[in-house]
Amino acid sequence: MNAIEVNKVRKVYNQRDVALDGVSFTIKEGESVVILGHNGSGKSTLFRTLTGFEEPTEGSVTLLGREVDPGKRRHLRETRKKVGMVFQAFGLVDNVSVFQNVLFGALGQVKFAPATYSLFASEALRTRAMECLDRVGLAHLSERRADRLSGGQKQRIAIARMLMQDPEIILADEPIASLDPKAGREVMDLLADIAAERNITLLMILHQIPIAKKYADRFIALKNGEVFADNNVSVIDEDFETALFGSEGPKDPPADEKPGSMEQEAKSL
Amino acid sequence: MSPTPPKRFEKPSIWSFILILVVLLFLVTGINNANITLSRVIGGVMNIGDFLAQAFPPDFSRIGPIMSAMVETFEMALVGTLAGVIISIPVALLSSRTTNSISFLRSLTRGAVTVMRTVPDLVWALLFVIAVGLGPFAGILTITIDTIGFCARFFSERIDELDKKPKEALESTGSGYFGVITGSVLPQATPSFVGTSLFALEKSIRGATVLGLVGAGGIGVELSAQMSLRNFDQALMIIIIILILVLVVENISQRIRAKYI
Repeated sequence: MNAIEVNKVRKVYNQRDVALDGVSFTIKEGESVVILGHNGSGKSTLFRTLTGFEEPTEGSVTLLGREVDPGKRRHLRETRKKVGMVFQAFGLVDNVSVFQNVLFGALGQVKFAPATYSLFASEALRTRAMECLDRVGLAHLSERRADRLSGGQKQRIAIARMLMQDPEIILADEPIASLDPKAGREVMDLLADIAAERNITLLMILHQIPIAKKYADRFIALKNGEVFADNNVSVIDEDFETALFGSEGPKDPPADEKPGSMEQEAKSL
Repeated sequence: MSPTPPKRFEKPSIWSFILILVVLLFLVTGINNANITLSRVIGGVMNIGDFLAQAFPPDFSRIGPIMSAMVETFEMALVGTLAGVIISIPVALLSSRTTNSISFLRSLTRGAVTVMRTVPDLVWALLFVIAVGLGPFAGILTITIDTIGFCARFFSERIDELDKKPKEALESTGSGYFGVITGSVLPQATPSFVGTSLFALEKSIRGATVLGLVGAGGIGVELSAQMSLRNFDQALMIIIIILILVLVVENISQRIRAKYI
């Protein structure tokens, strides 16, 4: 079965800015795929369209056999329950505990939202949250406030929160762009291991080509909103990089100028 | 020839000129109508001296009933503020862009909050005394309305400036609207809500001490009575007790804020 089907998706902002133009691809269950392309190539828009945060102007997206339609809220929520997301900026609630953040991953599964509060959560849910924390190796930090963690730890907590969904697809949007190389490798190893052991489909946006080649089987390269290439990562060589990014390599601003990076957050404090 | 520096004085536009003229006119007539004369100023100082002479030493003989009026004042402030804070949370969620996408509903609640804030509390008190009669209930209702006007506004501004990423992260788990509110918006905003609520309590205590002047319960009734009876020594005692209560509450509230927020 195909986990992800993207069919002729076109996204136009303000009736003239074309972000995606006829993007089509399918990803099979258990595949590990990386999206490449420099800023403005449409990567982020593609991800937001996949998860229903943006509605495509034309075309359709299907996850796990269910069409993603932002207009049908209930249907969309059902689809999202099995799709785990990992973000560059982690998306943790800073002033509550690590354990509470992981429990919030179950918000889609409970009838009454306060049932995810540590105070009211069922014993089964609390146990499951600890198992998820244990899987990312941070069970010992369960009582710490989320803002007292390093970037790498935060991302692993975000992964634990996502595991609460028992996802069949993981969408990771630049998961290591705010991390130092060592923490980045740890997070990538963790994501890859989890995906492999549970046969989860993994779709990632990554910037460093070597990391992409190490952790993905296949890549989809976007250029000016169109699919520029879709192939096995082994074909990526210097000529290809030049063709995709130009002669200067991946064109992205340094991490400290990107919104949501740790440096940026540190400056705004 | 060297370049000419900018003019020393920019000629005001016709509208600023008219505005300045109108304000000046009110200033002159205001000072004129207040009938300020040197003899009145001197007389005023003498009268204050007279008041102080009669007020000292303050009369603590009626400390019992005064303290119970003070406790009533504090209770009015506490009950009214708590009610106001609880009502402010849904009102703030309704008037914030982040949590309410229906612009018509947003304008409606914002308008209501503005009315609550801009009408002074003594006017609300007069209204509630007519509605529910003399006594502390009218005072509690006044403080509730006053607190909503204050808290709902600051709560909703806080909600608007929250980091949106946790909200989006929880939406992506398939959580519904209330899940996102209880999971990201409320926990993120709680420290700020607590700080604002403590400010509201301080404000309410100060407000509650004068609500009695219009019959809405509390120690203001006593103060007003003793002043009109010219029992200045008792009046001074009441003023001292008000001062102590306000200072104690402000001090405790500051310590709580410093520790937790």
